[in-house]
Amino acid sequence: MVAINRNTTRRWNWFDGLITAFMTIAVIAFLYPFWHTLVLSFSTPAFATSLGLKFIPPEVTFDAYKVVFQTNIIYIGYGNTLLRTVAGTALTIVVTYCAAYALSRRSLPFRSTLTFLIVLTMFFSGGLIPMFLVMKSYGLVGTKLALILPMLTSAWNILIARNFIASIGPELEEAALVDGAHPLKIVFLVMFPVSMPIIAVLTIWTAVAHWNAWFDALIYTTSEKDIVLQLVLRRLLIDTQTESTILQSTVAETTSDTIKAATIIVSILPIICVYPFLQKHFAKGIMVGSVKG
Amino acid sequence: MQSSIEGATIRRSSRLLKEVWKNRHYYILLLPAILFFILFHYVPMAGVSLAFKQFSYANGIWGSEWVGFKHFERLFGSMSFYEILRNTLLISWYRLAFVFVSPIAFALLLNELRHGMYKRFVQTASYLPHFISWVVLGGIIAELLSPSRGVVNTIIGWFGFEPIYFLADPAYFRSVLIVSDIWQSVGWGSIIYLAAIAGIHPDQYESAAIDGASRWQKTRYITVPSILTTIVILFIFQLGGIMNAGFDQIFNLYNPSVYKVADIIDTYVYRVGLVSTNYDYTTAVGLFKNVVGFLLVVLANIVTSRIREGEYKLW
Amino acid sequence: MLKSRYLIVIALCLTLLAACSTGSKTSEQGSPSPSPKPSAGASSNSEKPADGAATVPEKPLKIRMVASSGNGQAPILGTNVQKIMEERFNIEIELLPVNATTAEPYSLFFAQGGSADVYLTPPPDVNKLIDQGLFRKLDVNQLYERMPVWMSKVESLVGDPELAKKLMLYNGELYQIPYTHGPLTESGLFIVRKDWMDKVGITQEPKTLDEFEAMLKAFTEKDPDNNGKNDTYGIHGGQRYNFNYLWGAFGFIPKSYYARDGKVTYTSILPEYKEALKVAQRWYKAGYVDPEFVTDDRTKQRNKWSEGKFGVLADNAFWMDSVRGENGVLAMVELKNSNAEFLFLRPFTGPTGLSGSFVDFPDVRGVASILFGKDASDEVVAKIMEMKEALASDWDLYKRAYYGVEGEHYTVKADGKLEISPTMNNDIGAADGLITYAHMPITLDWMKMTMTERDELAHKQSQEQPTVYNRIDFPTAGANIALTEKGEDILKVVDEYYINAVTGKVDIDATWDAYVQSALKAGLTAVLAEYQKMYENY
Repeated sequence: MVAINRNTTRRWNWFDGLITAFMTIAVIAFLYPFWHTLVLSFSTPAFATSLGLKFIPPEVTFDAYKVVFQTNIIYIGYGNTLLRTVAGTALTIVVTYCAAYALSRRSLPFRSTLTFLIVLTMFFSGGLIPMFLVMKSYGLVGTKLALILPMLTSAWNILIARNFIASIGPELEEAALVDGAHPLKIVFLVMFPVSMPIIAVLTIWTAVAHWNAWFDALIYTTSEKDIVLQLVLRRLLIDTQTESTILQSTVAETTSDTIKAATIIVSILPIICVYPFLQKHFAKGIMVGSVKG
Repeated sequence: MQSSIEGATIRRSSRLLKEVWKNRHYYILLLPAILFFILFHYVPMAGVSLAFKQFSYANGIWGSEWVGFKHFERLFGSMSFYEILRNTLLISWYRLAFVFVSPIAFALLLNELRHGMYKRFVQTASYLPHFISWVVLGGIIAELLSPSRGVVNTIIGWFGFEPIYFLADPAYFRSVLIVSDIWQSVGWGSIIYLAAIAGIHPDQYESAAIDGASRWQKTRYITVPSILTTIVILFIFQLGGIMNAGFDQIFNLYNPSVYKVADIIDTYVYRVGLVSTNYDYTTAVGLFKNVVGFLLVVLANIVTSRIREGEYKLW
Repeated sequence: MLKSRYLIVIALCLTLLAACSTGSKTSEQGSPSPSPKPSAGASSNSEKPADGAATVPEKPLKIRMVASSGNGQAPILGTNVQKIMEERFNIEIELLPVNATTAEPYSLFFAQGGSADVYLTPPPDVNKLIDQGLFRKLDVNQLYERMPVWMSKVESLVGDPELAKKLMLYNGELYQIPYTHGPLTESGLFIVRKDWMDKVGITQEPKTLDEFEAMLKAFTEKDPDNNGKNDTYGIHGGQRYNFNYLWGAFGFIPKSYYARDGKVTYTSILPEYKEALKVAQRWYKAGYVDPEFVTDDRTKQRNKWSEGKFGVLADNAFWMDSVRGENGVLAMVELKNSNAEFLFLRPFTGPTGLSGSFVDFPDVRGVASILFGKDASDEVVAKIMEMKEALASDWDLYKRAYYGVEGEHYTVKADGKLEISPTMNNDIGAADGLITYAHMPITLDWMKMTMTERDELAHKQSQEQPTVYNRIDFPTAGANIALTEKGEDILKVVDEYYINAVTGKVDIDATWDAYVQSALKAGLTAVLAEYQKMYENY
């Protein structure tokens, strides 16, 4: 059975018009901050420091981007960030989904206790120093794994995925069990494909978290070879340093708004490019080829 | 007598063992996550004891001396404590009431859009503000709300009113927080609800259509109930985070004029930390916040356990 | 669905790859134990005299260092400047991979039990760490004997040799080689649009508070930018230096602890502060002050300045230097308005004849003051002192270690001054090892080597004009505990009242007493009591 766009048969009415108008206005409001940043990244300093909202720059210049890409370190940053995002996200999906599926089984003994213990981790943590010392004792400080393992999964992700899986309903699973399939096979071959919406969401959340992460790289990596994109970009922003540090250097420039804007665009653009591929998994219903008599 | 009790216990535990063995595959699936939580959450969790110690770099966490509730007393004894606590709770409450609902409403509205491509375009545009940091957004908001140049005040002027300095006015500041929070987060937040809606079987809509259900009825009786589990769990999580009233946003928008309505625990502790870094004090404050949040979640779990045979409970 | 499984397999392989490649690395990095590197020039192990001469080349002294580089990351190993230092002073530098510029990584270094011989910049919360015995003591006499030029520079920057001596001690002992430098000891400046003065007919530089107020009035009301619109202000009023000379005209800087007639007071509860607040409120109500100063950040303030929205900017000479390029606060105005001219106003006198400009009370135990690990040997201390003294007295060495290589990082102009290359940035500098080793209490005589005449004028005036201290005006032996605990509560009361007073939301006379009581209750009484004891005992 193919998913039907159930709206094609109905005529437009006033409500459709209203929502479309409302959404159009909303779109302008949503797009403005991004547009403003994009415009700034291509502006001259004179335009960037002018007052008022920015819509069209009188003159387009690539100077800000030249500064951002002038050192090779940004490519190393991109590479490491890409690596941790892909590897980290894939691992997270597998671990989270498996745990969520297991916890969705109502008949699982100790289900309640295990879930409670997992929820507990959302609230109680030792903080920066204990975490660092523990990571050091595992030998992870100075490695790339330190950027992936601490983010392997979370209570938040597991529980939301659990609820989604629980709402799928037992028919699929029962049908497969009746056919004599091994439970582990059921997870990957039956349930997983049907859970694509939540998988897509987990992928987006995790990938973005990895992409934007910088603090863990700051404290866990010791070599320039392990640097991540966001750290490279943060270094361009002098404002993240204290005034007394700035005053030390005779060559310190203030970071112009154009460079700040360019760093934002440089880090968002890849996300925007990849997003549509994930979006299609939840933009329309996809119970394709599933339960049929 | 005794032997039958013992016998019953043995039978119970052997039945339990059988259940565990029957479910062994699920435990295997759980194993990586359990290991993760033990290694990266429970092992470091012992460091929470820092909240009750005077941290000394020389002695490390274990060797530092116990000072009991000294850090908590420092927090509770501050003249500002009542104000920051009140602001934290109030702002979190406003966020729960208004900001939490908006992605749900937005997802439902998006669902009603006729044209698939347009729907995807709107949804993509809507998440973009989430990626713009509050540093940048704060600057844009300041421009929009500027009493001398801002668009909003220009419009207010058309109606004959005096310009309002929103960001410096305690009467309006929290509204600015809520509205701008919705602006920034509604698109990103709607993703999970869209995913939940996508999981609804189209058959349900078809049979409702055959029965002559209106659009509104379909939403009310099919869509909303189907995503209710998602809504409830996200609500409970939000409740757990009640003591985090949005540091990033407030920090980039506030100023001393609005301290009395906008200074929250996190912004206050941040300013304290500018003078000297006190890991033990910040651990104590974090613990306080988390205990409150946790108790609320426990409460929520008790409440949801009583409804609908625990369909919505967390654990 | 098959695709996603392939993705997972690929990702798992990548992870294994990452784990394997870094697995071999962990043995090399992250641990502070040294792996000896042969240094560039010195002979490592031989004790044989070179060409029969009397000197016996010793083994280079190994020194483990923590330093902060100029670009916000851990310093790079094996740079050119490092080699120069090693060769000249016969040392072998082991730079530990610590990011000393950022607080958290530096704190974590200590938390994990790390230690070094030398710390070229102090860690966060240095007083606590000293209390915990992590650093060794130094001998004050040795300091003056071994580093005469360095100390004379520090003394000239602080202004008073006795004060300098008191400032460098902590609880009566010396732990740090004192450091400060030009920009940190310069007072803030009022920069006035001279072209506006000409336009509104002010020919004389304002010398009194009343004359200054008249100038603000003219800037606000007489359309000095000649655009037919009433859209200019006299002064912005926000950011670090806000009303600067106004406070000085009453003899203080707000939010500071002063010792007056043997008693420690807080300037923000003094009657003089009340009078100065009234003046600021008057200016605000008359429209001379940009009302948005409450929410404008520094960038917004400078944007407005560059657009010519107000006539007086309060800032630091550092931000005016030509080295800042287009981002310099003078250049940014000239970029948009070629007719702009500037006057560096001198502090005007107030009703009682006082005047002064905002300057931080000298702190010689801050950034780039040098500490030594508790197990550091006397030789290490002597060597570092030698190295730093050389940087303070040898212009060529300092030039190489700070500014770089002629032709590559800078060019020399006809008048002998240096011009920093426009393509120069912190990353290039860090790659060569610039700045990392070279911090030295620079004074105007060397600072002006990179300055234009106008820069020099601004800096000279900042250093020479009458000043009033910010934060505190007497030296203390240690830290004020009550201040760390109650400081923020006090500041909150003070900051709120300040904004409400200046913007006219409260009647200053009517609310003054309640405000003072509120500040005292917030913890000011305890802080003052503790400072009083500290003042009397030092």
